[in-house]
Amino acid sequence: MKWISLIGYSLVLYGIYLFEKKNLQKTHDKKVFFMLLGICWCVMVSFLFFHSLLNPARIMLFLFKPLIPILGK
Amino acid sequence: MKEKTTSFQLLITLYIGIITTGMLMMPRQLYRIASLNLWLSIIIGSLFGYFSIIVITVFLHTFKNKTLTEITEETLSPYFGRALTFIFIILTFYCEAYFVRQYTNFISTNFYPETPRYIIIGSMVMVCCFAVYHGIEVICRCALIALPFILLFFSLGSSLSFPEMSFVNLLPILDKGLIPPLGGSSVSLAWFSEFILISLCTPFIRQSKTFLKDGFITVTITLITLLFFTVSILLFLSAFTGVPLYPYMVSVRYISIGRFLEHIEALVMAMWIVGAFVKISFYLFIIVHSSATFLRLSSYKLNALPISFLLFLFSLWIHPSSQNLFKIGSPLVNTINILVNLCYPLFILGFVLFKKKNSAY
Repeated sequence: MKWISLIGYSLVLYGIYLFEKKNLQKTHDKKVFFMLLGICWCVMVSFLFFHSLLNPARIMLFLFKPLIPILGK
Repeated sequence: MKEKTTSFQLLITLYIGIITTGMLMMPRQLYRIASLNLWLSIIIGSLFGYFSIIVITVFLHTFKNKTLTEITEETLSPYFGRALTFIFIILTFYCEAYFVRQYTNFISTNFYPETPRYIIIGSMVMVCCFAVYHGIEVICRCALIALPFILLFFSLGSSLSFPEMSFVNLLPILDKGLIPPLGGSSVSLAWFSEFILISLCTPFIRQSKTFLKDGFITVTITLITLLFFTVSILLFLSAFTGVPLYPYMVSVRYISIGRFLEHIEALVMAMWIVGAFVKISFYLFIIVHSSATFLRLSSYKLNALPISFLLFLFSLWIHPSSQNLFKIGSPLVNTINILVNLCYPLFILGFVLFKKKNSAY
């Protein structure tokens, strides 16, 4: 199932690239766009294969734990 | 910049975002801290809304047509400013993912328990991405169209339960002193501090001369609306306000007039989806625009789709259960909201004033 999801999400990313292809005229825009797609792909792999280990909620909780009793009730 | 909107339209967009999520989530959280004096917490929290408007006005007068992230990079050193902007974008993105998750949770627990979450999240993110792709003007106009319907149906939901309300439920006032309402204000200020987000849309404001007046009026209307809904829930549910996840939905479900006017919650859900759409698309626009400025892209539209895809993944990923969402997510996002929407602009304002004072001598 995970591998099917990986292929499905990768196809979505390819679709995003095809959609924006004609708007990517400048070299800098192209670089940034591919960097963003790369980040998306990495996040997708983490989401599918390291679901609980790299959970963003866990990371945020770890970072802001000391502040929660003071600011967030 | 072609697309422009008025400050009033931007404020209305934020107003809808604040009241739709506030009336559903705020009463439970406030009751657990301030109990019967939750209305006082809302009043105290609203002071920060006025304060946010003053801060934005100062920024508008000092740096014309510059967003908060651009001001950060200009006032602080480029590296430190960019680092701070990056942290701001990441934290706002997390809050946005939390809002999408909250929306999904509300829809799946109350109305569509069998529908897969990725369908609920995916459909909402797609619509919001479409709105963001077409610019801030589209989002603001959607908000303006939705405003009368949202107010009509929400107030219908509250006013139809009026015969069952008891004003005795408000008493005793300040039975445990001022500390519980002050503690509760940390919850309500997280909502009111969202007004600061307008400072990220300043290049799109057509006329900023009346901003202070418009801002004060909108914060006052937000305060009155939130007070009306929250107090009506308290008058109806009394001590039960802190028990259900969505007290407003419980109060609306009770409505039955002549056995033919029932299930008003379906209307409330429809309006809540519209409100959630306005809030999520406004936040998404801010993230997309700020990140495009941060990455020096020629158009913010280029990163709208990749960021929407990231939002979809993150909102599927974070807080897997309702318990986790309410117990961990809610205080965490309140903390992040206060840091991002209150401490960060205050820090920048302090730095700007300090720099101005030093350069005067």
